[in-house]
Amino acid sequence: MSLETLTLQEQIDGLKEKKFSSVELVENYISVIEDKEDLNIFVSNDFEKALEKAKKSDGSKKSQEDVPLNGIPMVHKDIFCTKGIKTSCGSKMLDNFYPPYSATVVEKLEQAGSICLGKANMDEFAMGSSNETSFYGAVKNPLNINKTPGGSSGGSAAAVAANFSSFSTGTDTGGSIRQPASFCGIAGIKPTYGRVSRYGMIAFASSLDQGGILAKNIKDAAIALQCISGYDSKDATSIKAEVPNFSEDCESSEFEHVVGLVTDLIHSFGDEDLSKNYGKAIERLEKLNIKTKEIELPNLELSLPVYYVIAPAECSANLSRYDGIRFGYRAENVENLEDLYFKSRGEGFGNETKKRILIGTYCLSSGFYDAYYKKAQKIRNLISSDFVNAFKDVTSVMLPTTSGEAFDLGSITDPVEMYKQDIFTIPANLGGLPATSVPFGEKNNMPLGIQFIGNILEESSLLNISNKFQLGEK
Amino acid sequence: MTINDETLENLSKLSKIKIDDNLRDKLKEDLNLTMNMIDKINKIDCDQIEELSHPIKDNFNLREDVVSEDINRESLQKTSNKTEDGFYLVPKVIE
Repeated sequence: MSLETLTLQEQIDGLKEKKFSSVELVENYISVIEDKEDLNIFVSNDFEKALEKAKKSDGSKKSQEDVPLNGIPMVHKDIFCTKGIKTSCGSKMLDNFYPPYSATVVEKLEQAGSICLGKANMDEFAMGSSNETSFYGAVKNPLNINKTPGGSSGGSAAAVAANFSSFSTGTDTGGSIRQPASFCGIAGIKPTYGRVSRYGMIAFASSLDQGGILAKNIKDAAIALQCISGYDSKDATSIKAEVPNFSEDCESSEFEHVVGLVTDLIHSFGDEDLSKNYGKAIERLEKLNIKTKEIELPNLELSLPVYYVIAPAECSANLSRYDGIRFGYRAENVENLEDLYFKSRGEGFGNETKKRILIGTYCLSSGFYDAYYKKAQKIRNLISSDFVNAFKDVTSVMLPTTSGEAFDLGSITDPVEMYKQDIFTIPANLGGLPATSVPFGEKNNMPLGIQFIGNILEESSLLNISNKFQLGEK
Repeated sequence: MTINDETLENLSKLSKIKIDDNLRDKLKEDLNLTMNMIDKINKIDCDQIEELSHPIKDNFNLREDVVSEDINRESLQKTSNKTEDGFYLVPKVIE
C-alpha cells in the first residue's frame, strides 16, 4: 500500500483500524519529500519533531472526537505563523523571522492532532499567481515541472499533488487557493470571510484575506476545514457563528441545489476551450439531475480593476509594519533612521511586492483617494450586490476557476496578463463569499478546474454541491 | 503616462522604499500598465452607490479589554537583532 497516495479520509480510517501507524505515515512522506526536493515545495521542514509527535499520537488514548486528525501529517503555507519555526511568507524580509506565537489555524490543527511536516513555498506576501515572486524561487508543478503550480498557495497545492501530504493549508485573497488547486488537479476551498481566524496569518489585504484548505478531494477539504473554522476572539473580523458538521453535510442528501450559470458571459470571453469545458460541466450537472438557472453577473469584469485598487491599498498599509527595526530584514551600513527604513524596505521586498505597495500608495495618496480607492469600494458594492441578487434565485454559482491550464514558468512577463489569471476568482473575495475549486476537464494534458461560489456562511451547501459534482455519475 | 519619474520619486518617499536606478524604467512601465487597467473604473457611474469596505456587514466583535496574552516583551524582542535593556536600537536621531 502506498500510504502517501491515500486520501485524508482513508488515512483517518486506516489509523483507526490500525492498518498502519502515524510513524509509518510520517516516514513514508519524508521519503517522498526527500525524493522530490527539486520541486522546491518546502521552505523549511520539521521532520524530527514530526516523527516525535507521530510516536506520541500512536500511543495516544484520546478519542477521535477529541482529536479528529490524530497522527495525520499535513503542510502549512508559510504565511501562517508557527511558534519558533521560520515563517518567511516567501520573502527575504522575513527570512530571519521565527514568530513568538502560532496562528490560530496552526493551533487548531495541532489541537486536532495533526502533525506539520513543513512550511510550503509561496509567492512573496501572497502577491502572485505563479509562485515566481517567491524569494526562494518558483515551485514546479508536480504534473509537469516546466509549468507553474499557480499561486500564491502554489507550494501548498503542489504539496498535495506531489503526495507530500493529504491536505495543506492555504490563503486566498483573490484566488490563491482556488487557482493553484485548479493548476495542480486538486480540490480547494476558501470559506466565507470571517469563518477562519486570520490571527497569525501574515496580512496582505485584510478585507479580502481568508484561510482555507487544499486537499485531494472535496470530502477531505470539508474534514480539514471543520478543524480550522470557528470564532476567534483574537480576530475582530471573525464571525460568531456555529460551525456546522461540514464532512457530514458534504455527503448529505438533504440539500436542494439550484446552480446559477453564466453561459453568455463565458462565451463572451471568446475562448472556445473555456466555453467547451464550461458546457461539459453543465452537462454533468444535468446528468446529476441538479437544477440550473441562467443568472447575470453584469459587473464581473470590473472585479479585476477594483481588486487592483483595494488589495494594493490595503497591502501598502499592512506592509508598512516592516521597518527593519522590530522584526524582519534590517539593512546594514545606514546613515540615519530614515535611511534604515528606505534601505531595509528597498532590499527586503521583492519587485512584485514593491510594485503593489507603490500602486496602493498612489491610489491612497492625496488627490487620488476619491478617484481610485473610494470609487473601487463603490464598485465593490455593485459586484457584491450582483451576488446578493443572484442568491435570491440560486444556491450557488458555477464559474470556471481559471481561464486556462497551468502556463509555462517564466512565460508571462506582462503584469496585467498575470493579474488576469484571477478574473473568475476575485469576485468571491470581494463579496466575502465561500468558494471551491473542483478538478474538471483538461487542456494540453494539464488539469482544469470548475469553481462553485456559495452564499455567506453556506459552506455546507457549497461543499455538498462541489462533492456531488466531483463524484459525478453514480 | 500616469506615473512618470517625478511621481515614482514621490511614491518612493511616501512608501519609504528605496528604488534602485536599474529598476526604475521597468517599474514605471509595469505601474503604468496596471494603472491603465485600473482606469476602467473611471468610466463607471456609481455616485449614488455606497462604499463597501468590509464584506460582512455589522460584524465587528471586539473582545473584552482585559489582559489575556502570554506574549511578553522578551519573547517579542527576540525577533529583532538589535535590542538593549528592553529597547529597540535605531541609528541616532537626536544630535
